[in-house]
Amino acid sequence: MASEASGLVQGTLHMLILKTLTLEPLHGYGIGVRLEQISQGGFLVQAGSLFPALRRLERDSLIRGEWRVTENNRRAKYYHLTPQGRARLTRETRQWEAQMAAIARILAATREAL
Amino acid sequence: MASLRRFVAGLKGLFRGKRLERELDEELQSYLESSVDMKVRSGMTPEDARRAARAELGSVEAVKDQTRDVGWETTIEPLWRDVRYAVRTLRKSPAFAAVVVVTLTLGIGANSAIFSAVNAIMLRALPAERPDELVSVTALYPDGTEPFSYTAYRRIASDGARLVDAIAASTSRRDALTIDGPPEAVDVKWVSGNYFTTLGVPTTVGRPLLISDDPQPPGMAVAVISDTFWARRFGRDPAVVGRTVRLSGAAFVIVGVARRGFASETPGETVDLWMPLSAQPNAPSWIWKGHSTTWLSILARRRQGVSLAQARAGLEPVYERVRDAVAADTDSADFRRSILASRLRVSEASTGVSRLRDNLVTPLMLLMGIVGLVLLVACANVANLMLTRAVTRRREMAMCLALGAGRSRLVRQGTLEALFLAAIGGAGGFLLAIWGTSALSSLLSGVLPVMLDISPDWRVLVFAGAISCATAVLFGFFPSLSATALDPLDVLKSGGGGRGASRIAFGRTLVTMQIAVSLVLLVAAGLFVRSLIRLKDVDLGFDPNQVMLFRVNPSAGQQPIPIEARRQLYRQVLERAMSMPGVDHASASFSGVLSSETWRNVITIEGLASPDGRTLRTFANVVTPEYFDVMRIRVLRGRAFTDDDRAQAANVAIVNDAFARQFFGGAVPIGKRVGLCSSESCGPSAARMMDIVGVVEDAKYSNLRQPAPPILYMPFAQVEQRLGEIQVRTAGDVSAVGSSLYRALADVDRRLTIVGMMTARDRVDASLATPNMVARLSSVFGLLALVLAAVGLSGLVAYMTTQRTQEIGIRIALGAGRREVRRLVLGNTLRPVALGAAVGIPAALALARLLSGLLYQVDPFDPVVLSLSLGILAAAALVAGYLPARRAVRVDPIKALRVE
Repeated sequence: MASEASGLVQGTLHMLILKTLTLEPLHGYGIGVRLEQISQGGFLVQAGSLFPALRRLERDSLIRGEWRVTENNRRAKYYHLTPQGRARLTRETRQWEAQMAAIARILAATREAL
Repeated sequence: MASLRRFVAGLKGLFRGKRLERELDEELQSYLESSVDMKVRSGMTPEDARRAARAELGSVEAVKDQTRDVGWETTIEPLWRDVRYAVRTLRKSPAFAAVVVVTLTLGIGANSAIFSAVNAIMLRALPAERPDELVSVTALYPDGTEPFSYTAYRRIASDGARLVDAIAASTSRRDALTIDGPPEAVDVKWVSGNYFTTLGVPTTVGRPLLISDDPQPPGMAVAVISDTFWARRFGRDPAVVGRTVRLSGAAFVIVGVARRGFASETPGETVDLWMPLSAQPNAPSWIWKGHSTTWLSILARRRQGVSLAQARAGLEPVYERVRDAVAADTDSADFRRSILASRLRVSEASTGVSRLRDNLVTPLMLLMGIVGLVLLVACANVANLMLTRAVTRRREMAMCLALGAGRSRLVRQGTLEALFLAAIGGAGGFLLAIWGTSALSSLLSGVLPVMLDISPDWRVLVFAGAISCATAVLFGFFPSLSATALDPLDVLKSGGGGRGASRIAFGRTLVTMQIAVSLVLLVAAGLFVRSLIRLKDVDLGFDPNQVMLFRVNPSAGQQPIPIEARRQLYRQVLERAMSMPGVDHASASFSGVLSSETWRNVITIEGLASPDGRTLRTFANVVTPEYFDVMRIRVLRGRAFTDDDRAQAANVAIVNDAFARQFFGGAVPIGKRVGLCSSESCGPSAARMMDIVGVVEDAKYSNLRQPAPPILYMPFAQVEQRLGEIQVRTAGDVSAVGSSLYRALADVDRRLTIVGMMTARDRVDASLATPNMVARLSSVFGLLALVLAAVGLSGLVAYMTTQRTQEIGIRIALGAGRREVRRLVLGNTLRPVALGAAVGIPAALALARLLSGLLYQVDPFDPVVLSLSLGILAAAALVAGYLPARRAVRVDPIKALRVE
């Protein structure tokens, strides 16, 4: 619900997932927890959004999954970033920043400035 | 790039669906466990943690669904599932699938095979550049088409040059060519100089013929050879260019080899050498002037921006001028009328011009229609089977509908099953067609030149695919529509069996239709067979048994032989033949037995003014004295020719009975005088007159179907004409002496080449090749349709009997005897048969009337054929009804009543 409540756009979720994976490979649940931690509870990503997003990113060869053993001795699929994924993240981050800046300027605009 | 990656991933997803699914399951499981671990660590009890984790995750299935939907393949996955389901259900009923596939293979195979022939003869485009620009130009006379004279071609080519680039070609003719050794038989075609350049056919080696090779006669003595001849005779030696060959005494230089695969602008014609029209050696001058010899067909390429209509409109006045010139030139009123009534036809010619096609178009279209009907019968059978199956699957269908499956999904399922079966049937049919066309070409071998390749190509493949799809729709889609139109509640309440009444009504209609169609096909086949028998029994007027025919070309490679030497040569050859053991007589003639090389001439008869100014015409032949003996043509009156009828003796002639009837009203014409004219209509003073000394029996001339035309026979010793065929009658088996005769005759003189050898019996059979093919194929297809219809009928009756098992049980329990039960079932059988016959008889009669033009001395309403067809149909119906009837008689009343 949280992801919907926060109005997260599909593309944004992809970007965020890619970002979490720049630090270290994570499994599905780990990605959700990491997003929640970093955003300090701002984003709660549901499995119903997370798994389709992972599948799509994997399909596009931006991330790659690998089965590994977790610290609790369980098997889990760890995702890591591919070079294409890293390139995509850089590009999207730049775009995002540009967009944010533009939006911020619009929101900050006052009658006088026009 | 990304979309390609997605596509590949989707394909992987399709084929590794199960693994991906398992992985997703595992991943979700590990997700859940991690979630539980986390919650336990933060202080929850394991049970609470588990519950909370599950609640957070929500529906596992929903997550899986959402994840699966990521790939494009999920949109086609239901289709894929349906296909797999279809294969699975069909595997469960292999007998059903096998019957359907075999039925369709036969139907589609028959259609593809006939279509292959149609394709090769009528559709395959000319191996020329931009064939769609080519038009064929023909002169249409009231009684058919005529080739053009050389003068007419030149006129059309020059006056129409603004619109089209016209090429002219003779038909390919067997001739004797000297290369280095003895003369060899080759096929020569005389063409206008622009033939290759206009058709756009390049040469592999050397150059093509050029316009400069073909000026006003005499033209350049050059030749282009075909690729097959190059390979066959010269082993593809490029040094062939520049070699000199001799034809009819004239030297020709080979200048090029035509592109591989190019045979002729006429489908089915074989050509070894192309030579310029105006380079014909020893051609009489009248070939080049006037219009008395018509021997050229015209093909033209439209110039840039000229439409077919424009070309037509532009060429018509050109032809009219030619026509008027010819009409003004002649003094025969008859001929003038005929030519003034002629007109020019300009039509699309992308597939080339072909007399072969003109001859075969009717039989081929007829066969196409026949196999189309066979396919219809086959489809009806399969549809019937599908319906029966649908009824037995009513419960399953009803269950699916009740569980929420859309009707469209069920119809799709049914259609998919049908498509799958049709695809296998279509593939089988295509394979069958490959085999069938080789059988077909052996049937056609008398009609088609060996060169014509009728084996299936991509077009046939497309055709087979298209009719497979069409049949699938016919037997899959429509039955599925009707099968799914049911109320699930009703069906499930009634225990699933259902009455299947509508199925019976529909099935009965199908079977009735099948019976009617098979009857039509049987009648057609019967008529063709009877017509063939009539043709085989036809009184030839000569005896073709134990006669060997040799086609000869007397003037090979050298200067034309003077007439006296030629006569001497023939005398030697015939003496040599008669000296061979086992030989009775030998003779020679200008026109061969049943040959298409005929000679028609204007004649004058002393004391016979031609009524209403009409020109008298007759066919003429030149023979040696033994001819009538060898061919066993009876002399009715007077005498045959003798060796005393020589050049110095009085000129004599013999006529056939038809001649006597036509020109003398049946009176004995012996002693009357007749003369050949060298121009249109002449008087007795202008012509060389001959005394008629004998009348011989009518013998078939060039065609078995037509009655013998009037024929005037003249002795070889008195007429300057070449001989084209030697006939040898043997005492014993003709084939035993054939090859030794061939060697003996070939050895007599280098100047004489034997270009063909055939028994007279084979010649007669060859002229029956087309009717023979039509009769055989229509019989095969008629019987095929009958068998299919019988299978359909049997299936229907069996089904009806099963539906009525209970009723039959009650009847037996109430004391009905075997006979009553049998009658009940046979009644079920005969009703659709009677109905089918009632529809089929008028249809067959209507068709027979259309066919009457193809029949020989057979009444289209032949009662024997009709009653025989009905008899065969009834017999097949009885056989079809017998099995179900036997089963019905054995119904155990107790079991039958206990069923429900």
